[in-house]
Amino acid sequence: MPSAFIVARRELSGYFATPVAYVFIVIFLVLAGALTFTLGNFFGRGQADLQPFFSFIPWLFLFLVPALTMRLWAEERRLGTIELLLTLPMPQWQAVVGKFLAAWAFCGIALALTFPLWITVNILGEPDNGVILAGYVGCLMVAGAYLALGAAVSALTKNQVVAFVLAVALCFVFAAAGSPVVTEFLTQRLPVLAEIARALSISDRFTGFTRGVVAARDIVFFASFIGFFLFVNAVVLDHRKAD
Amino acid sequence: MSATSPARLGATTKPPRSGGRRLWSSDLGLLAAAVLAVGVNMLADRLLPRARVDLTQQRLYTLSDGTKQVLAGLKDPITLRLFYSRRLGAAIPVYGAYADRVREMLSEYAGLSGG
Repeated sequence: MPSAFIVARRELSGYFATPVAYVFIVIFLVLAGALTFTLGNFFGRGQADLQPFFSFIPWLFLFLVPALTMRLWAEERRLGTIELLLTLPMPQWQAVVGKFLAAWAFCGIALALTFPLWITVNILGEPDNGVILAGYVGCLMVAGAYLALGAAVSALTKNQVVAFVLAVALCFVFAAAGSPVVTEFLTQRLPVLAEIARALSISDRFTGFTRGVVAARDIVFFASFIGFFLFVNAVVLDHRKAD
Repeated sequence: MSATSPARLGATTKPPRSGGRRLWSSDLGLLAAAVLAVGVNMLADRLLPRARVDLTQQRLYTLSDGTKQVLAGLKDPITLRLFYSRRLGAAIPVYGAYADRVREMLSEYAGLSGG
């Protein structure tokens, strides 16, 4: 699928041609660092690990990733460039996959730039680097899940603000599904739903990674989540081509 | 160039009046994809509960050789009972996840001891 890669490369260079990339990366790094060291109590815990950093990632991405995805299709629609993109001689799904891959690679770059935290923790102590590696894999998975969801929502609308708000709301549903507040409420009403909520929860799956365990079923969950929403994205795009 | 061709990509095979039918068929496609995604996850839960890579340096989530040896050398049947409140596990997800882990470990014990 070379044309998906061509779309991805063009999109990725597009991020860095505009202030989007720099603003995103700077805000992400500042927030991640600030949250880790203040609310996360990085020094006070006295443990050489990146647990405080990882615990904030799903919530940080909850706002930042939709900001990245809101323009993916909505802007193309508003500017009318979607017509050009979709009439290029390549299957539509390749455009969908290409845009997703570019955004994912971009998130990967932003995550990679948090390396000073990793260096800090390695200088201060002897952390378990395997756990940290698994945590980063988990972060990438969470980013991918939010991205696929956000991109599908963005394809629905012409308005970027609508895309952003809807994407944040939907991502929040999946992020909060496993939190005690939700599951406790559900157990009192419908215990079956509580188990389903836990199985669907992105943050619940993510904790496995932060413990240092990369489980096959968590990988399957994220892969099917991403695949499903990319499919939704392609279907929505096919439908609303004309508006 | 493709700009001169009147047909849009992806809609070339469909006549313009079948919009309703296309809507219906893609709804069906979405449903099928959702069922597929849920099915794959249920299958993975059933078939691969213990397939995982333990990246911790001390192999915290992997059974040690000593444990394996003891399990392989068991002579009498041993019964292990796990008491777990499904209600509590659902209300406080951390407990639920912990119970899952214990259950996986116990089934690993059972597998290694040959019954």
